[in-house]
Amino acid sequence: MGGTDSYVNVSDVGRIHVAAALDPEVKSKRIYAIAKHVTWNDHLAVMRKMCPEKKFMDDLKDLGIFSGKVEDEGLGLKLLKKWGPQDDWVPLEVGIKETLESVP
Amino acid sequence: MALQKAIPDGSLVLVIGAASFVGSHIVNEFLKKGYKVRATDYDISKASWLASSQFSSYTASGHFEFICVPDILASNAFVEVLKDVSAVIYVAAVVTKPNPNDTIPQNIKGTLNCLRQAAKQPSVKRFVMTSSYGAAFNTISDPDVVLDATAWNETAVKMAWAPPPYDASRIGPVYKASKVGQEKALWKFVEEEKPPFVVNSVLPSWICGRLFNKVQNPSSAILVRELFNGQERWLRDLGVCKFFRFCWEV
Repeated sequence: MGGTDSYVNVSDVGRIHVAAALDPEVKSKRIYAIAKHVTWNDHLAVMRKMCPEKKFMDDLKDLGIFSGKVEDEGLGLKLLKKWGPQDDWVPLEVGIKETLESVP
Repeated sequence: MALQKAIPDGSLVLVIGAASFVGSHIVNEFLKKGYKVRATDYDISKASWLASSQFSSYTASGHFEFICVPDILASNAFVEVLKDVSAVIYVAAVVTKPNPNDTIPQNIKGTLNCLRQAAKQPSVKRFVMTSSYGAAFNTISDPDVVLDATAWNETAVKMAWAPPPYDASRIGPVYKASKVGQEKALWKFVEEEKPPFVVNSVLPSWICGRLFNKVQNPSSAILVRELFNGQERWLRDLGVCKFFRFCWEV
């Protein structure tokens, strides 16, 4: 395997930590913070759309994709919704844009 | 109707490892919710921007303060900073090195050191540890893997503790094995010591997003930058190994 298999935005990770401290119903839990299972090719597709003029590498081949199961996968999202302010994970497009704006 | 909360509104939260990519966002989210934050990290030169620029308005209003804790293993490392704290968020980890002896015991000891000192501070109601989903599993294409409360990445633990040489390829397994060790120690502590607070852990996948300050280690987000720049060789050849060279504080 040669890359990522999932992503999560750092601000969602921050919000889930807050929820893990605040929520009276969440006790002795391992909370998985996984927004979506994606590969590097999904990242490349977003970048090509962001910068149509720029030449990017071809899609990578033989990327592993997560095929297991996450028990209580919905807990992270449930906490984001409950403690706000959003209704869903921050999209991959936003995370890529924020990363490219801030990481030299 | 206001949501019921496990810690009082506006109370003081301690974030340990606050200058890291994840730590700084945890601070940000607590401040936005109206909590007071006491932030710590081990190196003031890499953390002073938190109080002086990023969260300066909160510093001015008395909602944010930074205290340097240079050694998380010291016997009284957290006693002072734990005073009046309602929740502890433990993000800290030492820089991952290829030799497991240089990382894993220190991270386990640091976590336990903080737990023990927090258990003596009656104001603490919550303890949250930053783990990684790499602590739970190793092979992404294994259809049998179930990420649950009992999923541990024993493959990484074996790889981390394999005999020398300790080359760069060991950094990934050592990072994951360290999170396994930290989390197992955390849950064992909960079971045996029954601390007077609730414990949760957070296991993020690959993290991207805004880096608040250029002095910060971009952790996994560096991959997005390198992919954009077309630095593809390592993506194909080195894969995960390179990531973990950058990933030392989540």
